[in-house]
Amino acid sequence: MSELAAHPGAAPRTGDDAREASQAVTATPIAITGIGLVSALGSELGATWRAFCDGDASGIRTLAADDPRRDRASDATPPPDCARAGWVRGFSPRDRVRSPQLRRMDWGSRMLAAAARSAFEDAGLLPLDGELREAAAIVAGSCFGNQRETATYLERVFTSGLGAGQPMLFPNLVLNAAGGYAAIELGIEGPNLSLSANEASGESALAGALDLLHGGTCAVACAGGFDEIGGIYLEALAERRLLHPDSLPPEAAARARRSGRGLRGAIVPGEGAAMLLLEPLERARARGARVYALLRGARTATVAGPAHLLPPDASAAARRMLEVAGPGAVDAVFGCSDGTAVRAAIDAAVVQAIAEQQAARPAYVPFRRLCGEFGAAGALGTALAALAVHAGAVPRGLGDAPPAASAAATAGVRCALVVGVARGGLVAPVVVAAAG
Amino acid sequence: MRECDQAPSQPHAARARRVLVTGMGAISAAGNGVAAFAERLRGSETRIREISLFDTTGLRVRVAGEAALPARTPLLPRMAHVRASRTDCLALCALAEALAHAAIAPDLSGLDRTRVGVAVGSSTGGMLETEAFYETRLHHRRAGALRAKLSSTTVAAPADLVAAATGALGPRMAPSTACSSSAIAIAVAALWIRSGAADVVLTGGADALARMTLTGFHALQALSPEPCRPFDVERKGLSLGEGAGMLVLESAEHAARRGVPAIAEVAGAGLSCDASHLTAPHPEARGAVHALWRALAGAAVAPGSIDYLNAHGTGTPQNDAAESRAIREVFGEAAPRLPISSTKGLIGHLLGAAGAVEAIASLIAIRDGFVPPTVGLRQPDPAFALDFVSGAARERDVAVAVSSSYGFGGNNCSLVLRRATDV
Repeated sequence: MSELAAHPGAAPRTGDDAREASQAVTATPIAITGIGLVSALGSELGATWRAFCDGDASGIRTLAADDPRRDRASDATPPPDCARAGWVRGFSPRDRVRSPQLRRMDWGSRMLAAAARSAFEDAGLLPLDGELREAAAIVAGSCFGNQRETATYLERVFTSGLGAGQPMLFPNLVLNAAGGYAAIELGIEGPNLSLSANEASGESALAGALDLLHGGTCAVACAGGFDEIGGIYLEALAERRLLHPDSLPPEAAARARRSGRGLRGAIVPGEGAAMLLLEPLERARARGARVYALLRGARTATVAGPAHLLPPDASAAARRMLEVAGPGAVDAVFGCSDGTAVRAAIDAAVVQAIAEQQAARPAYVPFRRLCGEFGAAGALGTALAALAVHAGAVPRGLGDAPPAASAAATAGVRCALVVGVARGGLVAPVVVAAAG
Repeated sequence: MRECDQAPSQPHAARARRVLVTGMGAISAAGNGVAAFAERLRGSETRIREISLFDTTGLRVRVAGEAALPARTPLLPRMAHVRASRTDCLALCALAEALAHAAIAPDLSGLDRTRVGVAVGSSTGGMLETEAFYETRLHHRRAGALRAKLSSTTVAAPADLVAAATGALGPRMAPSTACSSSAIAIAVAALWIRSGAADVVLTGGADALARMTLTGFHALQALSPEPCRPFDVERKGLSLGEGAGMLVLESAEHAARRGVPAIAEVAGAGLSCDASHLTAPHPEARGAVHALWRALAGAAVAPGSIDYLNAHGTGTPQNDAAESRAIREVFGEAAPRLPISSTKGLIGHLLGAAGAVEAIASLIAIRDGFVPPTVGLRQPDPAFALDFVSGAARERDVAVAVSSSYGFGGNNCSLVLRRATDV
């Protein structure tokens, strides 16, 4: 039994052998019964799925002066100067968030609270009863959290003096503000875990939620994450010459033009939130819930490498990823590729390694081409993977196949692997499979 | 009111692998190392002083608990010097000590690295360096070298660096739940060991002082102009601090195979959320009650068998009142006899590192048999009606201790630590 306080419904485990215990953990099937989304693909489930199926990349765009995304009533902090990015579309926080705290929430918190509410709603769990409020967990991953209000706050402090800190803004600057607001929005008093795993924050949150569920710490978990486009993220990418030239902030673009360096980056930044409602399959079936897919596995592990770099050896990363993901056929790979060579190589190595283990090559889905790259994008990828498994197919033609992939299978998709990687050699595979 | 001699019911009492603490390391205003911390814990002198890390002009409050980083950070990979933040360096200082204490080589040689996890919490990560970047940019100066530090700006950076420095290849997580970050990291680490996901986990947390947090709490009027005085009738707010606490958690079987002694067992952990307000405690302290009760249930111990409670005890009027209410609610008739103290009067509030460093204070209490006093506490608030230890350490056999951490966002975590010989 977990040392964390158990919740009724948790399966007891005994035995001292670690691997035996680990296998016991994976034997408890966890179902995905609700999905809540806010992204460049769309602001709700149906629109997102349609855009995904259509390969609609129009969410990757330059914000016009009158773009609805600039609505100051929805997002009080102006978006940063970033020419081309995966800006969310069609999202009106006032229509999705009911808490009176809405006016205090930053943009990321608004996206996350809306996605969390939608996930519970989609799962048919609203209104929450008192017991479930205490037994539900929220697990939210984010690379940077609230970047833009942090910048606003620091600018004020550094231009007007240290005594000019804004009391209304400061509480929003912690990474877990969004998770806290989501809990307030839904009245959820169970475990509330926020984390960062840089580029794999969404996948890591799902792994954390699976740990909590398997440990019996909660009855259901709403997990995923959010990220906004902010100056620090853009600067960090620009500093490493990874940002696509069309997405550079003006100052970085000027620097790149002067030096001739930094013009070959590939990453198009994005923003959004994705939350998945997870619960034991037995519980879901007992209440007659629709099951999109099973979350067959979600774990984090490390491959050796420097703290600030992605796994440098693509083959080693792929091997570790599949080792951690566990055995079983994979019909589709939702890749980590954001256009950079290192991520493309990891995707190719994963596809190749899977192809060597099974008769059919998996379909390859580079979904970030439609929504841009952000720390919690893996949660969106997992949501799309679950929907694809539920539909039994993935759309064709999201872009070029990775070097090692052949023609993608687009039907008969019963199991999908979401490839999560982050700096520090982190690998965070997520596996979703058909429920039965 | 619950019976204080009965353990909270636990639906599934069967226990899997026990989680032992086999190493600990700490750095804070109380010094670099657990020995220095243990010595200061017995005393009544605060280590909260005037801030020297940055200019505090314009602030009414200018004191905090600053750590003295060694000239050379142990374990820091050569290539990481240019990118590492102060928070990263604090984490590595504590890690080096914890590994040595646990008789584990810095490169984990002799261990199966794939079975070694990393769970390190932080609230602000490399904020101090991020501030420097912003400040330089705002004043139209070239941010040049500072941009490299942006790689360490995320709260995940200390965990990434711990993994890279040691070669740990197991699961990794960087919880960031404000002031409960490292307590939750310890809870997650214990969960991994219990479930068999890892045999050893390097866990804890780190946070450096930063102008954002100092000015933020200042703006909220939550800072005490003098070193904080938790639970005192004249308490005026909190004092910030910085530091890191790292633990080596290990399954009992793994520790036995290595032949290393354990300091204590992580017997239980309780997580909860207030779900009421981002900064103010729940008016009925529901979140704190849930966390305490879940931790006791997880450990299968009765409230009456707790020998020491290391309180969150920030020194703000709201926190101390809500926490006292939760203690009275959970411990019932045992509450007035439960020795309670806060270490924040000694070293300040370490934010994301607080949970880990305060867990280490609790482990020291178990190991050395004393309850630390609450530095700065002169006249306990009579409204609380609890046994706050003050003035000097109280000699006492501590077999089971509870350490509580509550954070912005309403994120709460209580840990139950039990003497290893009682396992």
